[in-house]
Amino acid sequence: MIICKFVNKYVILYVNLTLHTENLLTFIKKMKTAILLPYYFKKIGIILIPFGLIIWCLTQLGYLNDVVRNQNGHANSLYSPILIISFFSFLIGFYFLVFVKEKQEDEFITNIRLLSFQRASFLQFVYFFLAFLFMLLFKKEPSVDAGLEMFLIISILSFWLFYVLHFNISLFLIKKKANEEQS
Amino acid sequence: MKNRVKEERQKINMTQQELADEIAVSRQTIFAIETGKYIPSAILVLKIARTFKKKVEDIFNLEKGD
Repeated sequence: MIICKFVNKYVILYVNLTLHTENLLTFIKKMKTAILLPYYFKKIGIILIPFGLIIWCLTQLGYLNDVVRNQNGHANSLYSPILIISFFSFLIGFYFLVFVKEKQEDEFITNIRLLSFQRASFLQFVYFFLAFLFMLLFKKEPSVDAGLEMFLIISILSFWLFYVLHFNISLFLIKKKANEEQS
Repeated sequence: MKNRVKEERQKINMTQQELADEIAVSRQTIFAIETGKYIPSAILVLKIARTFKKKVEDIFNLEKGD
């Protein structure tokens, strides 16, 4: 009877522990992909990026002057909203592309994601280092605030750009090789 | 780490896609494991061994440098 109670106690403990471990593993798995968006956001991102970028460039280069400027050449009330909406469309689209899940998100994809993050951070560091070196040697430092602002924006975006390119190219190449082997 | 995933898969006439569906990963993952480009986690290793009804050591082996 005592042995039965003892065994029973340990069976319950084992079951509880197993259930707890299962829950913990599920929790960790969910945490890993918690910040990733569903796959359909990729399509939204692919539409938003060129839309935002083209509108922003056209506005800045003056191709939309008929819409955003008065007859005397001053910016009208549409100028700022168009610039803001186009820039944020680009930024949000880019965010969607960076943080979107793959169709089947598994540990290999997570591994490529991590590798891409590491390489992107390294390349950003190289970019930063070379850009400062260039400025130091050739004295081409951004003399006005706008130049410095642009340099910092590019250096921030370059990380995400490297990441997106590295991740998608790696996936594309592995898919291509897998398809070649199958055919 | 060397593995015999491809040989074991071909023995039972299983495609990469079928194995991928069985262990809930993508086909690229199976390709990467078979070609040695990716070393799977313990969970995946156990799932693969269970699919082939073999021991882990029969499919995965450590190499000298590991």
